[in-house]
Amino acid sequence: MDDTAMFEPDMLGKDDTLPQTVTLPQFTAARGKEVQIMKKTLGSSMIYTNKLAFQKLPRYMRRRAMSHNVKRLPRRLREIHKNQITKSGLPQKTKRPSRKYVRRPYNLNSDYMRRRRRVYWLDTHIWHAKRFFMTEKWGCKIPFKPCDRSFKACYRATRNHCLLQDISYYKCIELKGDYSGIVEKFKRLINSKNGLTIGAKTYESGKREGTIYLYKFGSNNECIGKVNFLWKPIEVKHKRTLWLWLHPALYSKALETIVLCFDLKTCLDIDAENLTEMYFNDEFELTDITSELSRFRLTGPLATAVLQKCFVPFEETIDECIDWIGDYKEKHEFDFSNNLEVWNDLSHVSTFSQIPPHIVLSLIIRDPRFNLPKTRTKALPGYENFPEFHYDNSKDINKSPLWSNTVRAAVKHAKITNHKVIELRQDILVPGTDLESKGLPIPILLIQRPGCKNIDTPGYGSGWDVILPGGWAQPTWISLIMFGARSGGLQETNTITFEMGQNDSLEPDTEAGAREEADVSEKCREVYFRKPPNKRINFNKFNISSPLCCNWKLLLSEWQSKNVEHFFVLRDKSILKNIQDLLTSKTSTNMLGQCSQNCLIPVKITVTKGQLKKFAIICLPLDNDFKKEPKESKTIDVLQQKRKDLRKEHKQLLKRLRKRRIRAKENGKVIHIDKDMLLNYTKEMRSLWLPEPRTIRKSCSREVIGFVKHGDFSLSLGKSSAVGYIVISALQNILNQKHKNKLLLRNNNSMQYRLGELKIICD
Amino acid sequence: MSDTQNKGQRSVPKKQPKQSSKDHIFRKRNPPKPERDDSVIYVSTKTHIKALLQKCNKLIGENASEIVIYCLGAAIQRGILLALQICEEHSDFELHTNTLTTELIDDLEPAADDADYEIQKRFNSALRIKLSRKDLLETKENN
Repeated sequence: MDDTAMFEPDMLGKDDTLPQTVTLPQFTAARGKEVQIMKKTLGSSMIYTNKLAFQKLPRYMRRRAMSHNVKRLPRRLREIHKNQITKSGLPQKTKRPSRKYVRRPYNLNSDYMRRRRRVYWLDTHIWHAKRFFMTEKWGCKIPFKPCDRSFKACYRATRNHCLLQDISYYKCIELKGDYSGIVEKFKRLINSKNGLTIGAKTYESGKREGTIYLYKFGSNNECIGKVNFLWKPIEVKHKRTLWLWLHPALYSKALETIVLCFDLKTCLDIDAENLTEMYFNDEFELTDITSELSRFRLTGPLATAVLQKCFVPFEETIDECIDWIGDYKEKHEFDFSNNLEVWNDLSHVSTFSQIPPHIVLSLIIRDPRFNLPKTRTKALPGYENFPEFHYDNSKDINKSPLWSNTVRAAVKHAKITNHKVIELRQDILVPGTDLESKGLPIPILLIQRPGCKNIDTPGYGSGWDVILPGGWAQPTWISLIMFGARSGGLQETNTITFEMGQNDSLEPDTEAGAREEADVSEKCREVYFRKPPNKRINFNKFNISSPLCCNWKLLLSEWQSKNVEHFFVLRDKSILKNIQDLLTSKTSTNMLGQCSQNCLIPVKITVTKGQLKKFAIICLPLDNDFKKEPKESKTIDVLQQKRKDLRKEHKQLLKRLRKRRIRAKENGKVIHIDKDMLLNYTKEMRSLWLPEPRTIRKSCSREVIGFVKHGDFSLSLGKSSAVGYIVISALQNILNQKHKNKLLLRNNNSMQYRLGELKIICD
Repeated sequence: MSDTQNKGQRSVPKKQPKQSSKDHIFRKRNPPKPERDDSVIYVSTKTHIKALLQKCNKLIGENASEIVIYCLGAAIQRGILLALQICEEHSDFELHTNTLTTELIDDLEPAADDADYEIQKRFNSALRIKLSRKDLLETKENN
């Protein structure tokens, strides 16, 4: 109590009064908290610590040679760092890197234009190239993975936050024509057993996006690949428009097939800025509109929140009139009140399961650059009074001006440069406040993805796809990043499909898939032969006959005891479902007789022990194997001696040739080195390391029935899992087993078999 | 989700959940999550209860002022068990429970070309358990 009495009354404000008494426990508790806060500040402060400022930075913000170069530090720390470093003497001033300085391009933009002539660049290429490992694939430069080693962080983003990917490398083609005409023609490109077709009732109004498997013209077996499609909302009954989103690996093949099927003629459209190829005949018209659209993919539960924060819907005022919006409204007698209502309702939605699957929502948003947060913030959903999200199927929320090419061109043309926006920001009186003007409108489309449908990880991989008009990708991308989305690349696409328990979208029976497979195995071979011989795995000793490639054709031929030229992956949903039911003994009706024998079944296998890798073999277990996981017995490599002999012979030959060359030189002659001989030797040696497989099925003690395409530790399941294919002929053997859903697996660098649980991928 | 609303819903005869038919594939959607925070725990029948207990202990160790446990349907029993175990271990925590009814949505995905998406609603009982730290100072004062 004496404490309070000691305060001088002048130190207090006029209206403040001191309490007469103080309760001791409350007083001490309050002081305790103050002490804690002080301790915390001392602990986390940049100034009051033993460490230097840059040492306190989180790992992802650290840069090489930070203490040497102040500019690598964030701006707010530079002053503190300078003060700290002056005590120990400033570093010497370095010379300008002159060669780099001299060689920098005169005009950066024209240099970029030159470099993107050979391969297609995404609109966000420059942003990505600074932060990602870029790979050249399918004729595009694609971001592969972020440089900040954030593999697991990206997974966590898909699980708990939001992952953002630029998938503008997907090609979009626009097909115009009569609805029934298009559907009729497409019947010859689709197998109706694979699920819904392009003419399904749900997709007709363009309220949902659909997926189909495209086949070669007039063939039911030769698949081209998976294609996403979206119908334009009905405006005129006869003239309908269809967008097809094609993977770049299968683009040329698919385009060729469609042109053949619709009997189109080609012509070059010279009106547009860059030459776009057009195909047409009397009824139909086909254009490639890839350059006019960009597509982003957001995955994870916070995707809605990020979009809500980033996109401010455009509400027209009197003094602000945009030509194309006025035209559109007049023409279609349509206002966006329904869309706005749904958009506002979405702000309360906490989980993706509340939003109907695959719906399309059209929006007109403001230029996202006018709405940037000051620092990178994490967008979180609001939960005040969470009302249920009601989606009314009868309302039109999918009509969008984005479908019109004139609007797309107008929006692209009207875009103000980043420089202008910065200038606008400079003119603000109080720096850092919001801009007065609100930015131009942009039409966009949002498409919901429901994610994984199986029981293991339901709802994983759900999110939104955003379709933007061309030219707007880069500012929108930065805005989405600023609102807390984490960026991912192609590697993340692969992990998401793997964690969802699905096979890669490029399947081995398609041309694109076969090419992809050959690429992967070629790369693995290269890595293998780059190692010195004593570090190479001798696959012959492991009894693995086809170690670095999945030789489906040979495997199928062996199981059918005849030569198989064409094989395909089973996609018939009812048969796949039937097989799954047979494995779990739910039914006894066997539909297997209905399908051809030369096909592969997509499977997912989980093991409790060990980690599966790609090219692992899937085998049939024997009866005793269910009790104890077997081991492959050691074998002697018959080729080892041959390799030794060949090498010895070759070395002797080289020695002889060298001597001959020296002798010739002394005589004043020159003998050229026989390069073909050297190449032949390498080829022969390599074939002795990895001989062409003669048999796969009976290559080891258990019969091989398939290969693993992608195996890894599955973070969502918490155990190792793999996806791959098995041959259908082996299915009867599996069904005769004691445990129908158990199989053996073995990595190509191991003797140990692992018992795994089998599931058919049928979604 | 007030009481009156629930009564209104219940007077309607309960529809039998449709199974996959020729035209439709029956798919359950995930139940909604009304809150999302580090200290909000959703109890499922899959996760081991010991793991959840450890998670709670970690939160308590980090001085979380309250923990909210949500459980739905068959997982209610596990949720209650979890809450009681925490209270047993940490005597300075007290329980507040609310019962509620959650609307669950099932999708009927079209399997044939002439079918359309349909949804079907079900209700399930859920429990929200709030574990909060007793204010020791206040109780002393009251005494």
